[in-house]
Amino acid sequence: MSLLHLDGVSFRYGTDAPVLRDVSFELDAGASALVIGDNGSGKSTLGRLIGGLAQPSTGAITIAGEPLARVPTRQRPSRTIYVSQVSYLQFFRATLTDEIALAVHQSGRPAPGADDLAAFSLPPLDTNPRDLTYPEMWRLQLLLLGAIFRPRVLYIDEIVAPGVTEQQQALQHLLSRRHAQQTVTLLAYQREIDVAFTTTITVTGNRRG
Amino acid sequence: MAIYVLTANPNVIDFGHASLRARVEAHLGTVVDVYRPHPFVEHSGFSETVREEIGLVLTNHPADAPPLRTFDAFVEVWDLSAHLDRRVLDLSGGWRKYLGLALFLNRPLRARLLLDTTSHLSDARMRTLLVRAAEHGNSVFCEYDPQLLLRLTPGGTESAPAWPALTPLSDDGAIVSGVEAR
Repeated sequence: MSLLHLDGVSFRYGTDAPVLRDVSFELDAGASALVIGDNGSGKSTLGRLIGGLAQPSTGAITIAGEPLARVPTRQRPSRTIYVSQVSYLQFFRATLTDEIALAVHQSGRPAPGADDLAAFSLPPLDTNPRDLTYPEMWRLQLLLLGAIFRPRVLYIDEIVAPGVTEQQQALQHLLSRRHAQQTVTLLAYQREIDVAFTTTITVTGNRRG
Repeated sequence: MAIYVLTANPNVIDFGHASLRARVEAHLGTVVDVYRPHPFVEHSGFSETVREEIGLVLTNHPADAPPLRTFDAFVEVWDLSAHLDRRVLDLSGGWRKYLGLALFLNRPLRARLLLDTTSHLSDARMRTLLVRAAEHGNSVFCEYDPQLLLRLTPGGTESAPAWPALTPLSDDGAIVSGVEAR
């Protein structure tokens, strides 16, 4: 059985034409997918649907056979997480240590090991998260939401500076870990990047702007 | 009009842009205006639709610095006609950033320093950006990943116009200088 299954999913904002129309695909446990599409093609909308933050207008999404619409909100992060392009706005603790401790507490998962911390190339852990650069914030989000929360399905909405070594290293490390954990990872971006995925999904939805 | 791609320590984009601006001004010998992105909030907050936002900005240019293009021409060259009646806040993140950049590049500036323009933009949007940047004043792009710009090849046709060769610059934290061609 596939781990993530989208069956005839469509979505429209208000009375606009559908942004996504009749989207169907399946991803098996351990898979990783690069979701490619132009600006406004529906990549972020697809992520919000897979993350359970919006409901399809028609069609259904299941994770390990369980309809996502039936998963209670508080249980959703163990099933699926959408890493938005502005999720760094959620940082509010005083240090990276505090942010990591909060993620460990909220998820009930173990603290990250030294190899995890090294792979994400973060500054000293007593740094205030608001003093990170934008690429560093992106890596911290990957650590917190991907490596610590470890949802069965993770949708990362874009990579910042994909040609930078630290970014590639963090993503490659996360994909490798999640493959071993038999989870599913999707990354949305405008183009191919120099990191290997098991499959590519092209989004050509209505050009919403 | 020249377009420069500045390679710098990426930390300056987030924390050192004031001093970087001074170094760029010293290199170019002119005052530089800075575009600094605020992802997904690139919106005046005083308007609802894209049409209103463009109108608001264009009608509030200083009298001695009128917009390079008036409403209709601006909408046409930036390919925004399909989005005029959408709420700015309903645009995708990439298109909202593109709108903010378009309005910035419509200002008659002698020189501009653009920080992190490429995040969230597709190649098509970046090509338009380079073509329009080449029309007026000098532009210095400073990116986390400069290759996103440097790898683009100019079009050279009516539907895909060209832009001038991108000139590499380097910042060592003390001075901005040209990079010798290899």
